[in-house]
Amino acid sequence: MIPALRRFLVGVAAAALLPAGLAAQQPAVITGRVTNAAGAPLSNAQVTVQQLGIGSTTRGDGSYTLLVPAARIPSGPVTVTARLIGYKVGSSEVTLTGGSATADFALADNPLQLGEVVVTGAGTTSEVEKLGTVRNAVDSTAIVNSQEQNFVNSLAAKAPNVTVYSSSGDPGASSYIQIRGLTTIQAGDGQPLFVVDGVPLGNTTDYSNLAQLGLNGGNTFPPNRLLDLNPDDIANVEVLKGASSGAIYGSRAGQGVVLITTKKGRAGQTRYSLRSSWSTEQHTQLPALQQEFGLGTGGVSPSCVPGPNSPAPDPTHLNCRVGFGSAGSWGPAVAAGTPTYDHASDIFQSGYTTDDNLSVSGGSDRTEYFLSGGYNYNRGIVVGDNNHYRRISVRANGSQRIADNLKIGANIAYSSGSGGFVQSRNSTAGLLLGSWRTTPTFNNLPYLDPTYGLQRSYRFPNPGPGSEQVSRSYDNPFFTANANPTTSDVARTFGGISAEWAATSWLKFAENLGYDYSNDERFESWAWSNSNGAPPSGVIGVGGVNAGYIRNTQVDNNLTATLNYTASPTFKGTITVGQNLNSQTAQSRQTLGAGLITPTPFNLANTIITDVPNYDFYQKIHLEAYFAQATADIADQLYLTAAVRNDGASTFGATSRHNWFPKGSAAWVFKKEGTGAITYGKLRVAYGQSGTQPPPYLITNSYVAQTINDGGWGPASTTAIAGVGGLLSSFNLATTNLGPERVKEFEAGFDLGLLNDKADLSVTHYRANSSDVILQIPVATSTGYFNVAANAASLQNRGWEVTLNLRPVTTKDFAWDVGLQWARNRGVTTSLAPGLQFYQFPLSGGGNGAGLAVGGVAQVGQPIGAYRGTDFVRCGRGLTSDEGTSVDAACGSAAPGTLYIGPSGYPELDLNNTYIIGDPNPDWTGSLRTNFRIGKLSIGGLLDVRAGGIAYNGTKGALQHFGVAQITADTRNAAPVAFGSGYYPINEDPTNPSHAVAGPGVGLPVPLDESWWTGDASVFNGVDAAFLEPGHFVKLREVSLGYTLDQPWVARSLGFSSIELRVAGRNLTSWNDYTGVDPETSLLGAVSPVRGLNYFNNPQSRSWTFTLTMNR
Amino acid sequence: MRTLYQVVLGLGLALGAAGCSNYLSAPDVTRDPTKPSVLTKSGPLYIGVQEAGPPQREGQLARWATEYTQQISGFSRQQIGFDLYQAKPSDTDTYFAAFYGSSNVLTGGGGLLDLHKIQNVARVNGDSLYLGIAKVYEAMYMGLAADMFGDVPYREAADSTNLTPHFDPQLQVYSDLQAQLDSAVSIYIPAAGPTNIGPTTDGAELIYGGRSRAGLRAVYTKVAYSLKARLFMHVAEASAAGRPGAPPAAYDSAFKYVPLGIASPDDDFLWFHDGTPNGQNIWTQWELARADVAPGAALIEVMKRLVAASVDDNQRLNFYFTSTSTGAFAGYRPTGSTGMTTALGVYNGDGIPAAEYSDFNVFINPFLGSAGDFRQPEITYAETQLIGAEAALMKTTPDLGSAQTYLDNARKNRHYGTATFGDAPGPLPATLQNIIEEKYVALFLNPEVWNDYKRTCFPSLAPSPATAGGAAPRTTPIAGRLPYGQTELNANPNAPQVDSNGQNANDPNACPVLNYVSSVPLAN
Repeated sequence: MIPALRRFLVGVAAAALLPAGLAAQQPAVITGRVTNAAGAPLSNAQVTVQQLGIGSTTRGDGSYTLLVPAARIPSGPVTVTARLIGYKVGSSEVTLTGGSATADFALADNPLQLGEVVVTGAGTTSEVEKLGTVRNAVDSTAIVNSQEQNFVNSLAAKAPNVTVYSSSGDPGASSYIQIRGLTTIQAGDGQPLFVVDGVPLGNTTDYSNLAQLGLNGGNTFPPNRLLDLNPDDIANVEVLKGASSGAIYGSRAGQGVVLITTKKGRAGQTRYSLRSSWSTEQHTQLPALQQEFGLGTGGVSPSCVPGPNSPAPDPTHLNCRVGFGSAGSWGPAVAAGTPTYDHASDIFQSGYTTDDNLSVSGGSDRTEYFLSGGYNYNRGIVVGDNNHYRRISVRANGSQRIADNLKIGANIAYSSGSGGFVQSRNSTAGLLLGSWRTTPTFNNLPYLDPTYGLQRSYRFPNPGPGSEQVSRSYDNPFFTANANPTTSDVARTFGGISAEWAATSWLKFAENLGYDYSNDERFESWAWSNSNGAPPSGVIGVGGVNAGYIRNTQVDNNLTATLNYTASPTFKGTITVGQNLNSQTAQSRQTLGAGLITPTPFNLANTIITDVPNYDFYQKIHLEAYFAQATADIADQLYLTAAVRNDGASTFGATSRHNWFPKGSAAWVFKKEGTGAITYGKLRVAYGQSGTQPPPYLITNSYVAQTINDGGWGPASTTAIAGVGGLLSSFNLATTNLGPERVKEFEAGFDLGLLNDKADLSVTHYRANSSDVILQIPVATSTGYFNVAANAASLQNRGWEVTLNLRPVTTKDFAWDVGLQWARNRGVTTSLAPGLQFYQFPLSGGGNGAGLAVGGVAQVGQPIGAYRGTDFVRCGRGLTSDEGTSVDAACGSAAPGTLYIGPSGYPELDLNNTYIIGDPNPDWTGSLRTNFRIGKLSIGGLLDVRAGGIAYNGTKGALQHFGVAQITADTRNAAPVAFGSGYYPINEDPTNPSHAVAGPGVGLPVPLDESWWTGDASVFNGVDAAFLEPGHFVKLREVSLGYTLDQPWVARSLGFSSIELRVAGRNLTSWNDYTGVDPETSLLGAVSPVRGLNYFNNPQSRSWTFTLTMNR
Repeated sequence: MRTLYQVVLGLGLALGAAGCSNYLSAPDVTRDPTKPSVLTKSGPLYIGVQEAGPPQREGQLARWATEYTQQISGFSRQQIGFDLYQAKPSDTDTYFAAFYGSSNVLTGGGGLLDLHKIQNVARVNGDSLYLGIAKVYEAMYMGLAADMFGDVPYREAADSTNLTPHFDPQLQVYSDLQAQLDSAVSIYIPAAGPTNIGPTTDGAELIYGGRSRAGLRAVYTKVAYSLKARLFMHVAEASAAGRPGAPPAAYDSAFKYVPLGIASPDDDFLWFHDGTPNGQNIWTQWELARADVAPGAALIEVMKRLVAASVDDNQRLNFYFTSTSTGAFAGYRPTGSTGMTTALGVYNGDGIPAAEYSDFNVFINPFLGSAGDFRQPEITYAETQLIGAEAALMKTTPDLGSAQTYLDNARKNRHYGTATFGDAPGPLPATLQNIIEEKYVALFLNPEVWNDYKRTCFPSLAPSPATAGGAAPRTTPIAGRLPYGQTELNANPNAPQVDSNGQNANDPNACPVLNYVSSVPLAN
């Protein structure tokens, strides 16, 4: 038997026998209290006797107790050490005898966390001051206090240039996170790699269950899979922002890395923590809808179109329907006394969330454990029973030192997610599309006809026999909310086992084998009479069911060997070599049954036809990597790091299967300790490369069985009709050789401790060049193909990040701190495949009717993701007017870009050209955080600021078309106005004073009537530029009031070491100039890098949360 | 020594875990295991082509063509803009692409690329029937592409080794397509060997399902000749005397091939549809999902005028459209405009009675019970006969007798898809207007009517208003083509810059801009 294995087995046996070995007599008891410098007690501080392997943590009053078995009491003094993040280490020498001893600690503030060890990825660690890159960490308190069900949301406004976009306030709705701008343009990408306890954790947002039914990929807001991670389990988050810090993850780190460490047990007595919270939620801002005019066109109420069994055009007759030509609210003024309804909000109610978490942790000198269970339930703000998300999570983290030099550990998490979703966005069976288009005089309740029990809607108000399986054209939103259950049930297991083996005093091996498995059972159902017009339209009216699963598996093995060397007292460091093997498998199978035989049940067996080509998706990606890192600490003030990683990926082309990713950094701590204006100073500079892998399977042309759509209009055919199955060529032209995208980043900055540590300042500048960016290059469609993958673009992101923390008051009973963050990123496309004017961003999940002619693009010299679309006719573009005259000549000396007003008095549409019309990227982002502590009371707040950037409000353009937008009521009968002076059709910048106009129609008053709003000012027929709005906002992201009870009577009377009561508000208010729902909204959720699109998106939610935390 | 032993062991573990030799190159990590990449038979692709046809030819392309010619009216949402000739490159993108292949996400497949692949597989297999059929489809597809877009890539198109095909002159494309059809016909004739089985044994024939290979060869030969006649008509206007370089006497050629074309309604080329949710007629699906278009006043007025003159009955009116509460038929003016100023006797678009309009009838209207199984005609006996009538009238040596015969043939045993209406009740002189108006009625919802209008300026149409809901026609002609697709414009530097509302080479003479008040003949 080899010695290592023998020692392993001996260790296991010893561990098993440990309890028996604890029988001791006359132990030593060390007690004491840990406070801050001002005397305030510090809880959760770790107190250890390192040489004995004994430790404990402090209670709410700062007290602790250490028990040393008599048999282990050493003869000489021992060193007791107290540690807490944010404070400098305190130590005290104590001589132990049988009986009690005391050691109190008053820890000095350590706001820069000097000396603390942080994980830096792939098994490497570093002390804070040795980092050559900026450090952004988020601790557990900040995460928990953000009260977010979705961990990604809790990172909002927590670190400069870490931008989070929540797609909607729906339970479980996905959120998108971006670090330092967009460094890639791949579908669904642009988001960082998440690594939990050393193991990559998938964070996909999968619309694919809806691919067969939802227009362009789905009409609910499905989760991003990091939702499965219980935020309460997180101890710490380190954000590796750029290539200079993330290069150790090579071709997976192009968009940054978020390293998450979960909570672990600590030696000492068993601790219990129960946190229970309850939130109430409401919708945030909504568009203004008019209640002054009713259904019709031209001021006249419509007759109706006869339907089944309904020969007469009498609107009161059964089964009469309102045709599209009369479906707007352009009818007569509402007569006095006629009831009207606020359809902007009547579909919403108060939602709530309950969140309960229990954790148990503890350990001995050899064993540490952490167990937790969490239950989170979010009842959404949409009426009905189909708007909720529930997560049950269980975690077990443990470690066992089975020999003095061998420690094994395991952490396993299981999460069960279950959600109900409501159809929304661009769907004629969507919630707000149906609700907000409803004419104000129609009461959507009851949504079922009292006599026949059939769906009634404003376009089909009197359903009767014969209409059971007839589309309502637009569904009644209450029907949508109640009748079409769509569910997702997720079971996910993730975690891993690890081993650390100190083979010698200078060489350590670390092994981490991780696993991540999720199975998402999805189910979508459509009731009879639904109006879903999405392709293929097999379910419209007749109902149907779509059922299937999405399964993702990832296995990751990371093995490192770390060598510590000391060449001289002033030259020492580490050398780490490692290997990483990774395998990712994604699989999904789905079956659509069209046509329900009977109205219920929603079950495939109750459907008529399942001949749509079944969705059967599979892909597997392998990665094999080797890496090495060396550090050098020179004279305790200069810290150098160099690393290189070689990635081999199955997705790389055969001739470039392996690629190198180097990095290097230097940190010079020119002042380490002291007093005065500058108490600490570090200059740092770093360079690194990381990458992004191509999608798999791009090297062959293939044939596909698929649906064949009539554009995006709804009608479709399939390759399986009449019992025969066909194939068509795939739109992807095979590519021969793809390498990884590469991000080369240079970063420099400084960190200062100021004013006797009353403040600290961090400033960072970076410049990241993305090269070989993988594009699905559009090829001339006349080739028969639509795109071909290639390394074909370059991007540049550069920016500044500033963090300033102030701690003006830090007394025992009163403390006040303020944190300011400011960041700016400028992204620009620097090159593009030859001949390509622009590259349209992939709209994974589809354009979803956003309406933009083109969308977000990469175009040389333009901001990454700038909107490209159609515009009004403007001066200086060499255009010909609708009258056939030269626009530029008519503009005279007007500045290029001035809006041209034709002789009719209206602007004209320039539909055959597209232009860069706006930049959705913010000019800068920032946050202001403050916290007051007055005795046991704490008050905090967080403002999130996004300055600049525009958003596309397609909803507005549709509401205008249908005459339900408030502005259409205000203007339709008002006096004519002149464009420019009285009205300006573009609202991208309300502070723009110019509103310049030129042309023969300037000053000519014209009516803003039905023709204008349904025509050129309609999203269906107007130009994209007309629906741009400011995307900036200042949001009160968090506000809280907490009180901690940790007086001795609490423990005596209630049995808890501390109890915290907390009231917190989230997203309470937002100051912005956007006329739709919150400008943070995102039509495409987390599946596309295109930001700021809105087409009947659901609103965000605000909440008040009441939390009770009990610790023992 | 012990330490060294442990170090070596650790490193050995590390390297030993390096994985299999093909860890990065195994088949399941480099090639999609779910999709075929090699086809040895033409059948699957041929089925796909037939199924991809309707979304293209009953979809937005047909809506544009029939809105521009006012068979239908766009009266809500995007269709209002299309009625105003406002199709943008982003609107046409997927439709332009589908002539050649597929596009991402939306419209897809069955275009020139797959037709060439069918031909290549057929050559390998020695199957002349498949080869010939694919050539017929090629002419049918590219003929429509050339008509709608003008100059289009053809000779260099659908070739993965050339990512920027040149745009071929429209008239050259038509000429090439004639050659393709000639080739198809010549291939059919000698083909009788054991490999020349075409789609008969794999159930791949949807359009003429159930016919033998001899039957298929016969019927596709007729379709080829009818298509030849159709495509000659596409260039007839440009072939008039005095146009150097234009193909001479296109009418003469069309006239020559009409007798060889589809000779019976039984041989009409009808796109396959059945009542299953995904096999339904695209117009039916459109009505169910969108219904942003309605019957056009122009078509209904033409039909009513023929009925009033007792040269037609109202069977087709009743089949195409519903009547209002008073039994009248009333369509919408372009953009759904009401209150258009009209000359006496021409319905002004306000509805009959006021605000009441006809709707599409049950054959495509799901709200009235359509099963969606109406098989939309692509090229028919009626079209062939009416081409013959027009060609006889317009050819180098006009043949009024033949013109009348062909017109009469078309009006006997009237068909629309599988619906029949018997013989027309009265005689109709074979004037150009009468011939084209009959064709306008017979080819309901067929994109071909746009080409007829551009060539003949019949029926007499006033353009749509300048703005949505306007009361008067605009002062510029009805658009003569669609803009190229956005992706083609972006990725192919050879794409010419053209006025998307302008005219193509085959349409040198813009139709006069009529209005509703003073135009003679009446602007319908």
